[in-house]
Amino acid sequence: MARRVAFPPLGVLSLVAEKYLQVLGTEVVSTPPVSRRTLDIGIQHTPEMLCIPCKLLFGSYLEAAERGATELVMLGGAGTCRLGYSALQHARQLRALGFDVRVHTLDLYHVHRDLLRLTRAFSGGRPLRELLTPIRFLLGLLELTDAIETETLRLRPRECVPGATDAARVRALEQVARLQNYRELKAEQDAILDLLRRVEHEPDRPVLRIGLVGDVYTILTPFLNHNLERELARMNVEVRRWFHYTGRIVPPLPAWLRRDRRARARLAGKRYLKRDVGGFARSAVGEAALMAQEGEVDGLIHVAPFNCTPELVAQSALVALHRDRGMPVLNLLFDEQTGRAGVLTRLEAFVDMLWTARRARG
Amino acid sequence: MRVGVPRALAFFRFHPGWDGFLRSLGIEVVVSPPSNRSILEAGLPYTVPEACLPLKLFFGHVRALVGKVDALLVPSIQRFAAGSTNCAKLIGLPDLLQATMEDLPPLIAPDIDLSAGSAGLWKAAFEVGKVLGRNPIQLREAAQAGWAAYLRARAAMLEGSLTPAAFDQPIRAPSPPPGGPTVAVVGHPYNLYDPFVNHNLLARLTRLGVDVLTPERLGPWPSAEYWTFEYELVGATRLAMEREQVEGLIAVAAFGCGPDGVILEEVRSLAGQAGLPAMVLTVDEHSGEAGWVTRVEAFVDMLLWRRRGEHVRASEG
Repeated sequence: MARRVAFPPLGVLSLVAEKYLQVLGTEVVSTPPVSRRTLDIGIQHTPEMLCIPCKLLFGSYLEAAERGATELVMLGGAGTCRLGYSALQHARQLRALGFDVRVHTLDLYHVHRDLLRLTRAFSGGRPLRELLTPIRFLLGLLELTDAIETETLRLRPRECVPGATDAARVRALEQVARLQNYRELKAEQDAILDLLRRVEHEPDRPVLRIGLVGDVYTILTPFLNHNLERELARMNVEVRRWFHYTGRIVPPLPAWLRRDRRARARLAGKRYLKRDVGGFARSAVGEAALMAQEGEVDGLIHVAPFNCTPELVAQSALVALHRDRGMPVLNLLFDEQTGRAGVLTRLEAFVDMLWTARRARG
Repeated sequence: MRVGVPRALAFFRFHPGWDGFLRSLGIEVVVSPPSNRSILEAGLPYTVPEACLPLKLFFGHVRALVGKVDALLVPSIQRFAAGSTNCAKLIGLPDLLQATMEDLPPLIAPDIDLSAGSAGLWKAAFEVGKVLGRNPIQLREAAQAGWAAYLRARAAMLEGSLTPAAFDQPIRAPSPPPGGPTVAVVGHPYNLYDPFVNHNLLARLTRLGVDVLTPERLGPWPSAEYWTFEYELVGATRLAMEREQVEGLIAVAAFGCGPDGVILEEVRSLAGQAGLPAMVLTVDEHSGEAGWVTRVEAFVDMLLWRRRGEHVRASEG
C-alpha cells in the first residue's frame, strides 16, 4: 500500500509541511481546514475536559484518516502539556475506530531532532547529504511564509480597499504552493512578496499596535479565535504575533550567549516566569515582556484555550507585567462555547481604551 | 528561624519528609491552619478565575502564613522520571506566587527534577541549603533524616495507621464496622485529605460503613508514565482492581485539572472493563454539599443492592 501522509491544519505551516513532505517523495493527503464538523467529531471522541486544540486536532486527524491517510504527523512531545499525552491517546483512539494509521510525533520541544528524524523517515532512508537540499528548501519556505504573514499583518489595518490584503495573501500563497525547489523559491520570492507590497495602502494611517501572545494553535486557527486578527485589523489595529514560524529553529546555545530575539525575550521574561511550565508559555511571556520593555506595542492580547494549564500560568505572569509596566492586557479564553459577539465587544472596548490612553499621552 | 509550609497541594504527599529535613536543621516548621472558607477567600484575589480549587486554596494558605514566618517552602515539582511532566501550575508554583504577591517572605523554591535519578533530590536539598546558609555536611544529614521520615510515613500510611490529613496532628483515622463494602477512593491526596475540598468525603464514607482504600493504602505505585502525579489515579485504579474485596471506585478530581481531565477517561475505561462500579466526583468552590452527599449515599446504596444480587448498572458521575 502506498504511503499517504497527512499533516494537521495549522495555518500556513500546513502548506509548508505538505510541500516539504512532497519534496521528500511522499504522497500527501491534504487535511481539510478546521470546520464545524472537525469540532463535532473532535468533541465526540475525546474527554470532555480536554482543551479545545487537542479536540480539534483529533477531529483533523480523523478527517485525514477518512481521506485515506495511512501515516499522520501528530504534534506532541513529552513535557509539552496535555498535547503530548493526547497524541498518545489519539493514536490509540484512531486505531480503536478502525483506522490503521502509523503515527509520527513531531516533538515541539525537540524540533531540530524530530525534523531530522521525520525527514529520514519520510525520505525512504536516503543518506543525509541528499537531504540537505530539501531541508534548505524547507527553511526557505518558512522564511518566505514568515515574511508573507508579517507583511499581511502590517498591511491589513492600512489597506485602502477592504479585503485587498487578504486577496493578495491568497494569491501569494498560491504561488508558494507552486514552488518545486529551492532554486525556484530564490528566483520567485521577491515577486511573491511584491504581490503583497503592491497592495494599495496608506502608510501614515494612525494605527494601534497590539501584541498577540498565547497559545500558538489558537492564534493560527481563525475558526477557533473568531477571526481575531482580521477583526482587529478592521479596527485599525496592527497585530504583532509573539512567534515566527522559524522561531523554534535557533542555534543550540544558552540564551545569554545569543543575541537573537528569542534569547532577548527569554531574558526579559525571566522575572515573570523563570521556569518552563509546558506549552510555549515561557516563550510567550518572554516575548510579551520584551514587547513591553521596548515599547513596541500599545497593549497586549493574551489568547488561550479554556482550561489550558500552561497559559493559565502565563496569564498570571502577565498580571505582573501589567503591574510593573502598566501594560494593558486583555485575556481571551476560547472554547466550543465562545460566542463571536462577546469576543467582538471585548475587542472593541479594549481598542477604545487603548486609543484613549494614547490620546492622553499626547 | 521559622519556615512556613502551606497546608495544600504537595503538603499532603511530602510533608513528613520536609518536616524531618527542616527540623534536623534546627528550623521551626509552621504549617498553615486547616482549610476553611476564609482561607479560600484570602487566596481568590491572587489567582485567575479559571484556576483550579486546590491552587486557589494554596494561595489562601500562603496568605495565612505571610507575615508570620521568615521563609516559605514552595518547591517546584517537575518530574520524577525522564519523559514525564507535571501540571504547569505545580511546576510554576513559585513563579506564580512571585508574580502575584508583593509582600512575600523569601521563598525556598528548589526545582525537583528526578529525570536523571535521585541525584536530583540531593541537588534540591543543596539548593535549599544555599538559601538557608547551611554547610553540606549538615545538609547531608538533614536530607537523610528527611528521607527516612518520609519512608516511615509511607510505611505507616500503607498499613493504615497514618493518613496525610494527620501529618502534623496525631489523630487516628476511625475504622468502619466490619462487613461493609470496600471502596477504592482515588485522586490526588490534596483532594482526598482536605475535608474542606471534598465535604468530608472519607469520614462520610466511613460513617456509611464503607472501608475506604486510598492510594496510600494500595501502593507501592508503579513509576510515573506521562504525568508525575497521575498514578495516584490510574496506578491506584489498577491496583484496586487487583484486590478482590474492592466493590466500587470513586475518583475525586478538581474541576479544570489539566492532567486529571485526560486521565479520568482512562480510569473510567479501566473500571468499565473490570465491571467495577465507578463514580467521578468533581470539586470546585461552588460544589454544594447536598448534591455531593446525595450522590455518595446513592453510590453506597447501589453497592449494597449489588451485594444482594439486585441488578443495577454502574452509574457514572
